[in-house]
Amino acid sequence: MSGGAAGEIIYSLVVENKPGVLFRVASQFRRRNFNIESVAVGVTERPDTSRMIITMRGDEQMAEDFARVLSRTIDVIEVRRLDPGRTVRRELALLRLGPGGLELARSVGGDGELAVIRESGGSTIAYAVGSPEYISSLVEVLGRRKVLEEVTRTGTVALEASDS
Amino acid sequence: MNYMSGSRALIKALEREGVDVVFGIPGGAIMPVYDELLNSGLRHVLARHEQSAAHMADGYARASGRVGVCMATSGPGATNLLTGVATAYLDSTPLVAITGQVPTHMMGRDAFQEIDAVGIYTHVTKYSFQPQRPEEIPWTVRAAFFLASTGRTGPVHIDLPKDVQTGEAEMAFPDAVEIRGYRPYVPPDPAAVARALDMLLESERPIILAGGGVIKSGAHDYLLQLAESALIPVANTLMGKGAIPEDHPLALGLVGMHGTVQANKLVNEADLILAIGVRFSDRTTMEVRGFAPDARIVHFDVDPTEVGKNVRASHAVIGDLRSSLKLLLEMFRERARTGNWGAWRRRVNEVSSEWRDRILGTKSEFSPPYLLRAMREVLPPGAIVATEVGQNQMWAALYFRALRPRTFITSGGLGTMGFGFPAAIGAKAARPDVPVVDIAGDGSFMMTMNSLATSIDEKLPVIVVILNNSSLGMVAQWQRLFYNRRYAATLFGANPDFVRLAESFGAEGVRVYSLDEFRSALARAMRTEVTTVIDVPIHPEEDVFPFVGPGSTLSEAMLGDGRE
Repeated sequence: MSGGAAGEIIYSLVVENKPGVLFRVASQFRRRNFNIESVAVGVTERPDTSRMIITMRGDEQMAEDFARVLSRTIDVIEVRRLDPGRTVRRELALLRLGPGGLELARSVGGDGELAVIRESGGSTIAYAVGSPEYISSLVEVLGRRKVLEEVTRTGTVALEASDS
Repeated sequence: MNYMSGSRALIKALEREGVDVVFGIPGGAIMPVYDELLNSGLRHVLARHEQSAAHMADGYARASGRVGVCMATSGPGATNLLTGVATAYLDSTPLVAITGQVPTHMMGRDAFQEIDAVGIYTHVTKYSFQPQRPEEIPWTVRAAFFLASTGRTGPVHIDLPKDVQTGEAEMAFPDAVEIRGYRPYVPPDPAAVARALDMLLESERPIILAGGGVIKSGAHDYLLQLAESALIPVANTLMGKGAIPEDHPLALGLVGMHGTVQANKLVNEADLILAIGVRFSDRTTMEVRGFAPDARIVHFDVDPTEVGKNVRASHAVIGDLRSSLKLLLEMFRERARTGNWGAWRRRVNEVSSEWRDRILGTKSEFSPPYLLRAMREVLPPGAIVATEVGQNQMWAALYFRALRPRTFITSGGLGTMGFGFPAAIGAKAARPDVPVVDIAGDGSFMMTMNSLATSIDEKLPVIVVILNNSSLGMVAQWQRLFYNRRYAATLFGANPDFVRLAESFGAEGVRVYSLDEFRSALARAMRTEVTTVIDVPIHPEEDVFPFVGPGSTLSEAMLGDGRE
């Protein structure tokens, strides 16, 4: 499936856990003017390697060609493309909500959950965990009603479901 | 005991790599390394600008097949060196570039001559290292040479903070390094090679397109055997010049913007292209939609990211080209048959014999194509030729026949003016046994002509032939053809007297006005022990033909007979 359709592309990279690696990976995207929609990085089960989950939009042929570019990057140990149809994705967001925000947030449906971390005065800090779509709709609804004072999102983490 | 300073460890590590010469310029942040150089047997060639130091290392590497080494201080040293390193990157030359850096505790404070060298060099190298402790240096140097010289070769950078140079530690020098994310030794898949052979034998009009990868991997002997066994014609990219002797009947010459008529015609008539170590640059394919429209492309390369990057290949063989071509040749001989290529051979002979010796679009006999043919007659087959960038380069690519690999050295990808002269000096350091000539234009030569001092000082004599049109000739040619002869900033009002300029450096200078004078000046220069500059005043409106204009396809070349 090549052509203009800009589908979701998810790369799962295993990289060296050392300074400069994110810079090297990110500069490959920048050189081609690709926009990273989300990036999440953390140490893997082996402390000397990190996993990067990077999502962007693009067509199939471009995604395959670029996977080879990422793979050639010397600090990148492994490159996998995750199949969006078979991949479990989660994102976490911290939300600072104004008066009435919590009630509104609870009314937003979707694949995720919401909980309060702290309440003081008129302001509430809550967290939401769920699909990136759920987090995005929370942010959109709360923002439109002007009850979202601040939000910070982790970016998407993803694992492909095994077939066995 | 191996307790020593970082600088000592660097020099020792370079010696362990077999380095015999380093090109560079010292400065504050690299002084400990230079001080240690005095204690070693390494030869240092002092450049007069860091860009030239990198080009010298590049010319050394291209002429010899070994890793070139260049060195500069931090800040402006590092930024000056960068153009030369980027030149090497675009043409996949194995290079190790070493820069000094401010001490680690000063980094990020905008210290004197501080620049984020790793940040800059990452984009123009295979990798950029910055050891944080002296004991990391031996591993880093081994890793740098390993990366530079394997897989798709290229430059590697080492940034050395001054305190890492001066600090002392117990050093361990590894023989081998392992880098998890780097797997350069990919053996070709025999099934993929067999499929390539099937496609070749099924084809009716096959052609080989040889690129720089053929020369870098040392696959030229197998390439020639394959071409001769199957009688397939061979066209080359600019970087592939010398992959097959250009006086060979199967050699078609350069493809692309300034490709020969026979190469461009036959590539476009082919139904199968065996593309070997090429990257299908825009100067090779021109308008991609019109490139070899009837051909299936079988792409051989060591770098998997090249497949499908610029043109879609029908089939690819990934791996070391020497191994791949060896296998292809063996399989071809085992099958003991060729394709049904009789009609194609007649067509190739017809086109090739019509065009291969023609000179197109010149104003007189004292013009670059004739001069370059005369040069070929005077120079021995093993002589090395470097070029500058612009018209001189394209005339050389079209009309100077390279007869051996590693004898034609040019900045293809980056197109760096000023490359040729220092690259020639570097080539001379690698190959003092053969004459080395820089085919120059006056514009390019003026960008690095201060390297005259290096060539005299370091006793690295080369011959500079300036095709002197008192202008930035290629840009002027485009202005003649596409900008209604409006010469914006291309005509030099006052050029130096290159003869007296050469003499002022202690070099020889001579100006010639005829082909005979040129031949004898060249022959004399080969016997002279210092660099000779031969100034050749040519007609300022000589153009390079054939010329496929921008936005055109290979079949739409201007031949210089009916000019716009």
